[in-house]
Amino acid sequence: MSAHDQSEHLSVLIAHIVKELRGTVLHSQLKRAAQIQAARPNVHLSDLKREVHNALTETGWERKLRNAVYKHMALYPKIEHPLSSQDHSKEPLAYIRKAQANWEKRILKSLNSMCTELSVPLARKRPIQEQKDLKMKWNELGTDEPDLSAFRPVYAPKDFLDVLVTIKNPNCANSQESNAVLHNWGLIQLPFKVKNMKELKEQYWELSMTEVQTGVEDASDIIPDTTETDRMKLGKKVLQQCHSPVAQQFAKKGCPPHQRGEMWAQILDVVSTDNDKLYYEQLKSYVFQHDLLVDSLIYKDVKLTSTNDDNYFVFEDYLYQVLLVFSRDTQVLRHFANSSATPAKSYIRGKLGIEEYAVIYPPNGVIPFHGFAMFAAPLNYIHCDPIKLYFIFRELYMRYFFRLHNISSHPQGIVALCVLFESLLQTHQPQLFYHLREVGAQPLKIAFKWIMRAFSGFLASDQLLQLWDRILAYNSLEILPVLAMAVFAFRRANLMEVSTVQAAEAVLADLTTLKVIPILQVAVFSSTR
Amino acid sequence: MSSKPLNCIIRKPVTLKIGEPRTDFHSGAAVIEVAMPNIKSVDLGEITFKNSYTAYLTIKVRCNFKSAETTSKYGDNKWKTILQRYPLMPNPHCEPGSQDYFTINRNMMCSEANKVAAVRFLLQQPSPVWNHFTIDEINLYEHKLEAPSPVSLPYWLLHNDDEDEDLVEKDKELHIEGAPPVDNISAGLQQLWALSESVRANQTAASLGRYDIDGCYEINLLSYT
Repeated sequence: MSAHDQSEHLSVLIAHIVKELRGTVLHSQLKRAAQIQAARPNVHLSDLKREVHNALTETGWERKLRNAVYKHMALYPKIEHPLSSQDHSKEPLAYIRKAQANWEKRILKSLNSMCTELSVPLARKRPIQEQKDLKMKWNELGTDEPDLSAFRPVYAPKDFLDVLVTIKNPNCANSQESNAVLHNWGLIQLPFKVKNMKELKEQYWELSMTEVQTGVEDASDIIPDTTETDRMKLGKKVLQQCHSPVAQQFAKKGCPPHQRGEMWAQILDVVSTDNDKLYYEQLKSYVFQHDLLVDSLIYKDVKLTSTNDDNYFVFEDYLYQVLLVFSRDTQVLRHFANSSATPAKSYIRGKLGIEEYAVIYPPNGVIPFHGFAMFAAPLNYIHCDPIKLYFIFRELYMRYFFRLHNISSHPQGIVALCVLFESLLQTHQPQLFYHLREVGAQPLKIAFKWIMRAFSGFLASDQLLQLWDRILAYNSLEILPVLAMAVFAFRRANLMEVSTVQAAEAVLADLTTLKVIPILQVAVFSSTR
Repeated sequence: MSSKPLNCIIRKPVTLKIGEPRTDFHSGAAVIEVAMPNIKSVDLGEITFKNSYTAYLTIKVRCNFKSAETTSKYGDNKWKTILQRYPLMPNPHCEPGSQDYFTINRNMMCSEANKVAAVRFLLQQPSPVWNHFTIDEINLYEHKLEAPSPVSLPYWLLHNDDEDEDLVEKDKELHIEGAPPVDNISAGLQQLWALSESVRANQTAASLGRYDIDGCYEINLLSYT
């Protein structure tokens, strides 16, 4: 980009960020703080601007503004060409757009048919008595045992993988078997650009074996205590800075467990103010007012996944308090600007087709699938307050997790992550890949559910949180397929012995004993290519 | 960016071949000829198009110089390169950039595209992964020099020398008993207007967070459109 283009881009970016920040609480807080500073007795009119500016920097307001700007830059969708349509800016490739549209239609059909079969409305207003009952039970929703046997999840990771495997680029010479140019052994035959090991080494260099990591050195027998205290001391200093990029850099080597909650809040710039508490209460009142079909799906999902997991069943009540509220949060709709997905639409009863009566269902536009609750479950280990927990979960979903269940060409979308997994495994473990293919066990079939759920529910909870530290710190989901490949490499010896699909799945069924960071280090940094 | 694209005839891409016309050899290069029928010569400002799996783009123009103006290098009707092997896809084997929109403006061109009579787009796609490659929705825009538009001055600024005394007298006549002078009233009104404008400009776009319509959120089925 030329210098002229860069400065133009910068001014557009600044204008956009200023517009976004204008409506926020931070704006009015800054104004008030500036007024207080300007009213001080020793401030002269002549250099008012400079004095107020310095005063705001000293009292920490400039830091807060910086964090807000950093957060917006992380979420800001890239500048689109003036000619590109809205569809094109969400997803530039036409065949991927089509695949995503078909997938969404399938989900809608499934939800509609569930609706008509069970004669349950998608949304209804709760009668007053029911609202009161729910309000009383709010803190112990887990004790409720509604009959959910008729409900089934809208889709599971396996269904999604079946759809992804069928996507083909119509312009790709690979579509005709005789002319196959892409020599991929895996399931996904799409020419996406993914990183190779050299690029991953550069991206994740702070994970290398020569750097001290939380999760490695403090779990070993040699110097656990000193590492832990050193990291905690540094962590304390980092937290005092209240600066998102600094916290993010610290998290690259892992967060000490006690500081993790605060560190993640700083990285994601989730500041818990009174306004946030009020907003949460407002959403809670929406839960009481209307009953959604999606609520039953969430209930079913929590009962099927989290309550059966030794690590998370104790947090069942908190999960309801987070997920039911999440479905009603219209702020989540903002993330659709970055996503190839479009939220489902419906019309208020009787007014089909009239745009003024069109609403989005569910209010946050996200239809949960089997395992969705597991995105929120691990967060219970870092925050005990459901309000703060909610905002962290929402931010994590809007930045990262939405990419795991939408079809997109984005380099961190689930399709690209699958391509990355298969290409890494084929390049670095060709014998293993070939053997598994011969046996009939395609590696992606086993690894897909790990990647789609970000390993939640498959790893031990402390290991999972260390993995998610790195997702936040490096701002990328690419570590998920890298870990999947590392797991296969780690259990290579057993996998080479298998001769059936079931045996292969059995070898990889239990990952709870794995230590995530060491096997990542071995896989990435001891490869010679 | 100028308003309307130039009127041009864009021919279909012609794949370049080597040797016998019947041999099945994909050279990975194609040419799109663009002729401008009603225009003798024009200065090109911008070119916009949508890519469809082309990896590199070269643009050549034929300039319409009179024989006296040309230097010895460019004779009449010779083709001049204004864009040399510009990468549209950073990796020709992979998707990024394959279906994006592009704009080529004058500062990206390596020589002046003045007095252009015809344009040729040379497309290159060396990768065997793709079946077809081309560029679509080509639009050419003329380069218009920005002339400063004349600002019309108000009448009173231009004609204020003779009638000064008359105006002052008129001011005195307009003084109403008991009311503040007109100037103060107009100053106060102006301030009010400025305040209201600044409030209007600072409207927040933050949503209220309501998802229902007038309290009603009864939904039976989702819509497929």
